[in-house]
Amino acid sequence: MNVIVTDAEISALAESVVDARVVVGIPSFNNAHTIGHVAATAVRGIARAFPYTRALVLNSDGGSGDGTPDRFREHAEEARDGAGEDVIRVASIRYRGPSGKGSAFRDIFEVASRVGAVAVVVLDADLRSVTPDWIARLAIPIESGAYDFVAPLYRRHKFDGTITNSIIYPMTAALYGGNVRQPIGGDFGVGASLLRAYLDADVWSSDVARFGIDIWMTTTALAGRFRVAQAHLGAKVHDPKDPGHHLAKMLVEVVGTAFSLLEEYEDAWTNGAGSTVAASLGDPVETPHDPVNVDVGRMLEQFRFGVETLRPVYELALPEPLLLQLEAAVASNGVERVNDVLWTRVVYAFATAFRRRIIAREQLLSSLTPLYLGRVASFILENRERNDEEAEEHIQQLARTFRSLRSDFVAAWHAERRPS
Amino acid sequence: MNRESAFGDWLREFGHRIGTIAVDVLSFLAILVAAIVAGWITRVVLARLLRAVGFDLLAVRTGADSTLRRAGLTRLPSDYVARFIGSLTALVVALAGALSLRIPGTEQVLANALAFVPSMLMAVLIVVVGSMLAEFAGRGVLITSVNAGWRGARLVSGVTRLLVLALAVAMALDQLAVARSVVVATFSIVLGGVVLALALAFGLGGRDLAREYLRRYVAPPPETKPGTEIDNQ
Repeated sequence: MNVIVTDAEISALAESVVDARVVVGIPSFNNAHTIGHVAATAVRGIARAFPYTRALVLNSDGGSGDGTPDRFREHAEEARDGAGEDVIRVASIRYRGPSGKGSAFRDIFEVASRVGAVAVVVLDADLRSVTPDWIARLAIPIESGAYDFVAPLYRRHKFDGTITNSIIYPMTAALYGGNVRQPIGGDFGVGASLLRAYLDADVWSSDVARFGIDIWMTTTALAGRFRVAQAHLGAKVHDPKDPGHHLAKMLVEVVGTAFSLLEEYEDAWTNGAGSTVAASLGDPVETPHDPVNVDVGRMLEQFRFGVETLRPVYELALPEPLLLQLEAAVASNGVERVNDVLWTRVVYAFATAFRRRIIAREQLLSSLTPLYLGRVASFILENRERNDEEAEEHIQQLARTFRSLRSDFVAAWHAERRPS
Repeated sequence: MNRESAFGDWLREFGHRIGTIAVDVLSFLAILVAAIVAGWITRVVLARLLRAVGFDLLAVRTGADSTLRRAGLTRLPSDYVARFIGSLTALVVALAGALSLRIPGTEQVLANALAFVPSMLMAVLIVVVGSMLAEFAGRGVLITSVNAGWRGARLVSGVTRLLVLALAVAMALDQLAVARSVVVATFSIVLGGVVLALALAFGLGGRDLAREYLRRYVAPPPETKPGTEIDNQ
């Protein structure tokens, strides 16, 4: 789909900016108390990394009622004082289309494309840990022409980012290659050719744009064999998540998008994962972690309750031996773990069931929640006494397991289902 | 001579009648065989056709397959549909054949049967769609309840499934005009009773849950120190 700008605001903006080699986009919705810091940091980062280079810092807002665009302008213009108004432009637009991060991204990309940007960086508006260095690390590899896509490489607590660590990272690495550690990080650098591919894709009105734009961007870059790297950024500290946004809903959105992309990019991953590994750029940034509170007992209880109660649902998606192993893990109350092989087989079985629409997809994905909690509890129990590096090695081991069972998954994906 | 002639006439008439009845009986038997064959062919062809177009998979996805298994019907859903349509075909062919024999009363029976067919098909359709909806709703409630950690997940799911199925059966019986007033009254009483029971159960037993729900979703969330809770993404 070719996105044609009809909105007067965006056209006027593109005409007034004329050209900008670097664009930093900040999607937002009701982020008045955090966006100022992000905007000012973006301006300082551009001034430091690209002095005398025409650039644009663009806020793409979803109609915030708390004055987010005003805070953005105030802080960005204040930070720009020393840089010169005609070098770094600052603008805020109200994005078009359905509400969500995808629409915000599309308008950032559209404007960036029209002003001839060579490198585009997108940053979350609720970041508290962003530094000017992030702009250099995400944009310079793109602007120099070395890479098309730079993913973030955060320093995280060993028990943080559980959906990424348990499902998204190992599955993406095993199927598409690249070994991108944070495929749904939220902060990226994108080059002009990939930008065009994004804008031409027919996803901007779909659920992918609404719920899974991050994983879609990463997967599209990997499946399209674009040059991908990842940049060390240090810790990612951001606003606490909406407490009403339940884990099950998050799983449905993120894992649902990842499974949908398996269908879209079937040719890319079934014919062999990319053999290149994304280069890790920059030095790792050592930052202290806040302690993480986890209630393993509650997770195990939900795992037990789910396996016992949802058996009729699991019977439709999982082979009987896997179900028996899960039941054995339940019976042992955490002694017998949801180990790497069992978990990999469960994820692949769910992906296959998702493809075949064994039951309504949202119900299927939602039913994964108790098993996911069982896996997270197993991981925590196994790595409780280990340091971050040892826990990271366990995650790498899981990714290797996903790779080793890849051919079984490809065969199951292609197999015809015959009900008996 | 007259006696001989009368006996001969009677004999001829008798033979003629016996012959006619024999022909009718044989014709009817042939029609019966043809009806059975037609029904069998319809069943076999339809079953293969339904399997080829993925009807059984559709039944699994919609939950109709689970409903059948729950009722102890373990064959493939396509087999049941094919058997039903095959039997219907055999019945219609047999009745049409009987009509051609001009057996007294057949016409009326056939007319009544044919008039009943649309209602019966609609009733079957209502029950089939109802069972699918019941399975879908029951499964959805079960998964949501489990994820919310509700101990009564199975009960709530079962009640949901039963209510939707009961509604479908009541609608099907109404379609067939079977004891309409009794069905409506029974269903109203049962539904009202279940709703009252649920209201009492939630009202008396779920006060803490309701308080927690209101606290969580209506009252503003407490300030949380960033980074202290697990971040799933």
